[in-house]
Amino acid sequence: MDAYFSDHKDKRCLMLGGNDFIGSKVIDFCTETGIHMGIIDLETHKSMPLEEMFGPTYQCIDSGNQASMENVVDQIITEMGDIDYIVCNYYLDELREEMKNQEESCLKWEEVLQDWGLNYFLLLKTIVARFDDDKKRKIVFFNSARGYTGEGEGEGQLIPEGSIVEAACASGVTGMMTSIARSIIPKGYSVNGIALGEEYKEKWGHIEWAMNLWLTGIGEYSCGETYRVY
Amino acid sequence: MEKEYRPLQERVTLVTGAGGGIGQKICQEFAQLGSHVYMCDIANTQEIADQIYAEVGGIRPTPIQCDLSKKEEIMNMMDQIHKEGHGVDILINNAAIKGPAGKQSFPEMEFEGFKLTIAIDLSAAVHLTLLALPHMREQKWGRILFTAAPLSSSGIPAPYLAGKAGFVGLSKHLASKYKEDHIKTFALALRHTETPMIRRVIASKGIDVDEGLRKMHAKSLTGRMTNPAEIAKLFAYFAVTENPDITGVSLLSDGGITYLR
Repeated sequence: MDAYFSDHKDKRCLMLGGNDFIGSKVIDFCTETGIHMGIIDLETHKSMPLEEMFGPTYQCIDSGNQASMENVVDQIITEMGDIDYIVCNYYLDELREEMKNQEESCLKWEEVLQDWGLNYFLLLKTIVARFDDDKKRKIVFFNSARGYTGEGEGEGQLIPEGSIVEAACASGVTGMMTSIARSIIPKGYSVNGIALGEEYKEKWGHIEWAMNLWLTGIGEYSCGETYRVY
Repeated sequence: MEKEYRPLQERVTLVTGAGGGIGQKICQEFAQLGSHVYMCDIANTQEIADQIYAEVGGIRPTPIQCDLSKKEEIMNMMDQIHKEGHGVDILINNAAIKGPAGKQSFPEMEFEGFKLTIAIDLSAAVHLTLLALPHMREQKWGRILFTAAPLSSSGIPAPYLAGKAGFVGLSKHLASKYKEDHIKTFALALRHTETPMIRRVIASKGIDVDEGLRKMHAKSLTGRMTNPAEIAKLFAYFAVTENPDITGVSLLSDGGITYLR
């Protein structure tokens, strides 16, 4: 397994959503395997420690704001140069905690859709517009197993816990990423997901395995597929 | 079907995208089954409502004009239904557009077009579901139905497919969470439906419509495309069943195109 991990040395990774459990684990993974990182958080989730650690390659955006996303991506690219890996992460554990004590509402839906689905779209739109050169780049997106995660392994195995907003947004992200995958895989990108189940924090080994699978390109022939961490 | 068979006589149905194609046929089928149907569309559906009433009798369908991209209009629509003394017993999330984003490939797709499409194709169904649920839960009976599509459908723009996949996930989630409240859900994943929209799409590509339709028919194992009336019957067949275990169903109705061709 170690030999496979060494392939990451000096790669450059841009991650959306650094300030949560998955974000911190991805940062650890990248640091240990020699990957250089740029991180984008939402202004509402700004982390001073990450800002101190990463300096100008740590930036925050106004959620759902296209100009803000483009500006921040350009700043990070100026600092880092080309990007090899793009990781889309949403603050899922925070949402799950919130929804334990919060009523479902139309307002919450709009917030979640923007912070999650729309920001994934904006980041990928910005990146793909900046890099249109047939170079092989890897996109990994995090999703929730509480939503519909596609027609491959585990089809229909949706975890019943959780909220309407999480289930609907996760399922929407699946559809959106499938369509985007179809558009950009022929340009050289690989696009695959990792769906987080109930006890995912205790299953980091699975998540790391899946992330490595997608980032190394070992699993490249799986197009738009999602690995489910139940 | 005999006009006397009206198992949905006490039920109020709200159908989105009721102004033509699949939505119109669903309205007709559910009115035929005795339901009071609210026909939601961005266009005025009075003429269609009158036509349905003339054909099937029962309770005259109520046209209700609403721009589903605007949350305020959705809330006003639900308020209107409540003020008329009704709660929505059967919600049919059928409306969808490919929208301005549908003509653009990723990443050229404009963000504003993306947001508009996702507002209609996904957010509207989430809003309507959230607004309809309290009544359904209180009375311990409800149906939430979705016009979905398989992920493998080719050439579908990102926000449209987000809506369709969102429907499948939402349907499964609601089915498991509200089973004890006897709220049942059903998502029908469709491909290749012969609707006026398909005819317009073929024509817009400069292809002879009949020739284009013939080619699409030939792709199916059955040698034909499905049609709105057939789809409406599937929805109705699900809505009338009282078997508590039949819920969260995601039925692929594609003529075998997705996996068998």
